[in-house]
Amino acid sequence: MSLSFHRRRYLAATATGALGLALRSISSEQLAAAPLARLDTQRLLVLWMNGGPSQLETLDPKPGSEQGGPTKSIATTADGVRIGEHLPKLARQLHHVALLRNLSSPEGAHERAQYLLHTGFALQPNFPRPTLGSVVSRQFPPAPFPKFVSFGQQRFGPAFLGSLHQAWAIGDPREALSRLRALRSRQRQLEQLKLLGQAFADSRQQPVVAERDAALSRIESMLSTGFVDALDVEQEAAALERYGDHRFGRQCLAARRLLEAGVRCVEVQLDGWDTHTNNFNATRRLCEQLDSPWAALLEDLDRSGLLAETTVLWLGEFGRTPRINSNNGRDHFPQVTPVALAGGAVRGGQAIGSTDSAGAPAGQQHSVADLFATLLKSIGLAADFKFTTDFGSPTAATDQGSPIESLL
Amino acid sequence: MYLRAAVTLTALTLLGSAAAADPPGQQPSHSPPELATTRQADRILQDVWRQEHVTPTARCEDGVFLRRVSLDLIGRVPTLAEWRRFEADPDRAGLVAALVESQEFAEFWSHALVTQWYGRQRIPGADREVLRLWLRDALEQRLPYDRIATALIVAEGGSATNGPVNLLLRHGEQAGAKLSRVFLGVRLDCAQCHDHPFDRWTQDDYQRMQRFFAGVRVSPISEGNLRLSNAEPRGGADREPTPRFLTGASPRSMRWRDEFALFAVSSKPFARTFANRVWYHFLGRGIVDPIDDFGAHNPPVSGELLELLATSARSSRFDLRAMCRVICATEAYQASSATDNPLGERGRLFAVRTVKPLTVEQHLRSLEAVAGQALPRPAREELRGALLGEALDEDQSRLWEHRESDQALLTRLTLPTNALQGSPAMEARVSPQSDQSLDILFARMLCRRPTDAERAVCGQWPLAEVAAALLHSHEFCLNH
Repeated sequence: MSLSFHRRRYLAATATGALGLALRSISSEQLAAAPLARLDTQRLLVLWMNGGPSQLETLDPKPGSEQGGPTKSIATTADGVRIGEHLPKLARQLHHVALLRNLSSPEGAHERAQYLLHTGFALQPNFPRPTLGSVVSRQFPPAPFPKFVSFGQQRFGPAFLGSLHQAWAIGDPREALSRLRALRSRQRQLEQLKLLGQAFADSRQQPVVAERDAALSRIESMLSTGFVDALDVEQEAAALERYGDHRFGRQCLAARRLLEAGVRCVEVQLDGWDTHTNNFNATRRLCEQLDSPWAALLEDLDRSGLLAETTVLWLGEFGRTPRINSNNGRDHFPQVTPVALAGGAVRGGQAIGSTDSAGAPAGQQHSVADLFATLLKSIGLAADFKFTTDFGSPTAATDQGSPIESLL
Repeated sequence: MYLRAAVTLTALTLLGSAAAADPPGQQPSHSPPELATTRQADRILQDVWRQEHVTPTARCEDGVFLRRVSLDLIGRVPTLAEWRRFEADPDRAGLVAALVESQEFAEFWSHALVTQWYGRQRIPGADREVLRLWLRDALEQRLPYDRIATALIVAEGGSATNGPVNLLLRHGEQAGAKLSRVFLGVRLDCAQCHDHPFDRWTQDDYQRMQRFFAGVRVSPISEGNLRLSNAEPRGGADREPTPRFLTGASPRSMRWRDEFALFAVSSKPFARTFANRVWYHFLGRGIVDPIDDFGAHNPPVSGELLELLATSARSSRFDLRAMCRVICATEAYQASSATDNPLGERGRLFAVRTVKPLTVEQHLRSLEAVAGQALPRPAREELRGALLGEALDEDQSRLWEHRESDQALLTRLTLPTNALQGSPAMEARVSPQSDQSLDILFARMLCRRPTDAERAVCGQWPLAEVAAALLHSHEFCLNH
């Protein structure tokens, strides 16, 4: 095409609107055929580092090298693996964690890279793809509360999987909690609503009316489950201190409680990693926010026994350049996209792949599709599994990825 | 050849001058041709119902009609005063004629049409609101639909100052295919990667239609604003194919977009698509449904009805208000939505009114109409955000199909009562409970009187609670 376009496009695939019809997209045969016999992973927790976290300041430091900057490395509970000095608490939990140091992505622009790392596919306007959380939500039986919760902006939707697998977006857990509690206390009002509406609903047996009835019932049943109280992080004052009483810490604690309450996938977002300027101070501050909750999550999940069935995924849209720019910052470097996994089927305490002393990728590299194939395999989806979209065509679950065996 | 060029130039000049001028139309009323079209439409549908052995429901009551037509024409529920006036004098044709002439008509329809063409998403670089304001002005000035379409196709200018250019900017590289969908009712974009799975369009058709827009250049101005301008189409005749319209016609000058506009608005599908889209707006289903997928695989409910409305559109010179008057007077539009059997075929055949959810704009304006005042801005924005959900995909061609997520519904359940709390309209009702105040509440919110059963139940609750319950009821939140 000869239109010279040059713009950034926010594409948010979502299920409302035209794709609301997708509810009938997944045939029951597909669900029955998916191998559910041995599911290692029952839940997924995603820690999304928005902006592109610098691997050299977090999980793959190069102290002493020309590009390493002032970041030193520290030993961890995993043999032979050293991480950045700003994550000391995590270092003590590293025996649970597998670091993926050689993941490479072709996308260096924020929106495209975020899309790729959320869906496993390159951005294609005509064909929206479901985000990872929606795929996870679909894999498990229906629940009276949302199976996929996202702390932070939800820009990536369930695409053809349907609106039932859309993320429930929460900003501040305290505000969401008060709202839900307010509604719960007005239970009487909801009943009155049903009473008044009965005559109308009876006389109009039409799909739209039935759907609205169903939605109101779902909300009503949700209010009576443990979902609402899971958001109340104040109930665990001691834990709150360990996680850190700041936004990210509170969200992580709420995330853990939601997972315990039965939610299948929770995504928590930490903003600010796009450090083109003042990289070292910025990443140090971010790591201070990140270290306590990440370590506390691993510790708590392990202690309660949930870690064996929960994958904790840490990643961002790309890594950052070894070269330090003139603003003392680092720029985008998708050739090395840092990923860390823990729990579930993951074999912890190792670092897969490596970068050389200059920070460039060395040896064989894995693709984002491979990462997704690995994650899907852990929840029971084979790499060549095919979804059926709402316009009837089968489509692969991953972009020709194959699971990374050494991870599992 | 000289003659052909001259003819083309004349045509293009006429097109140019026509697009530039805004002749105000005469004051229309329910003219005999419109009545004849309505009656013919009724006859056609009655034949269809007879053939399919389907019984249509009865005509809806006056209060229901008033509410329905107010929502569909001006985007809000009627006020108490309007309801009382209509109760006293239930002149349906007069009501429709008055509503299409009101200020709010242009405002509401600008929202409705822009949502159909553009979707709801905020795309960096394209300014939806500038487009909508332009459209509102165009509708106020009674610019015919074919001229609106032409203006949108040939637009040039900066995104912040030129309204129509934003539709092209929004669709970007797919301008040809998307505009075909909007104005011609064909889904060419399926043919982008492979020949269309069901219809006869091929990849070649797709590329040739896109070529009409090959001369478009987009350049940034500042602050996210873009400028769209024309330039020499890239590529010589040997490298890139010449554009070719779906009818097989090729442009004769180098002003490809202008010729595309000419081919488009003079084609039969244009009139059919226009009629179908307006029918869909009112009835909740198109005569061809989905409305942007005309083809052998998707036949109309009644080809005769479609042709009738298309002809009527052409003869009224694509006057949107005339089409509204025709459709609102049909028996199908006035059918009741009450059915105690599952809907089945009767909805598709327009024998029963399809219940539709309220659109975002309708919901907001209706809340304000009920409260008797504009919502405070933060509440309004929050509610709008909740109603829209978080992120929306591009294909919003189905205005009603925006199904709200559970989360949006939940936010809605918690919001409006707070917003309405302090309004004088609500306050006045908190005071002495009497039969009268309950009546007024029902009238204001549902355009009817409470039944005896409802009177018995609601009499025991505080009025504020009744109001809150009604506010979230199916009857209020749906367009039935």
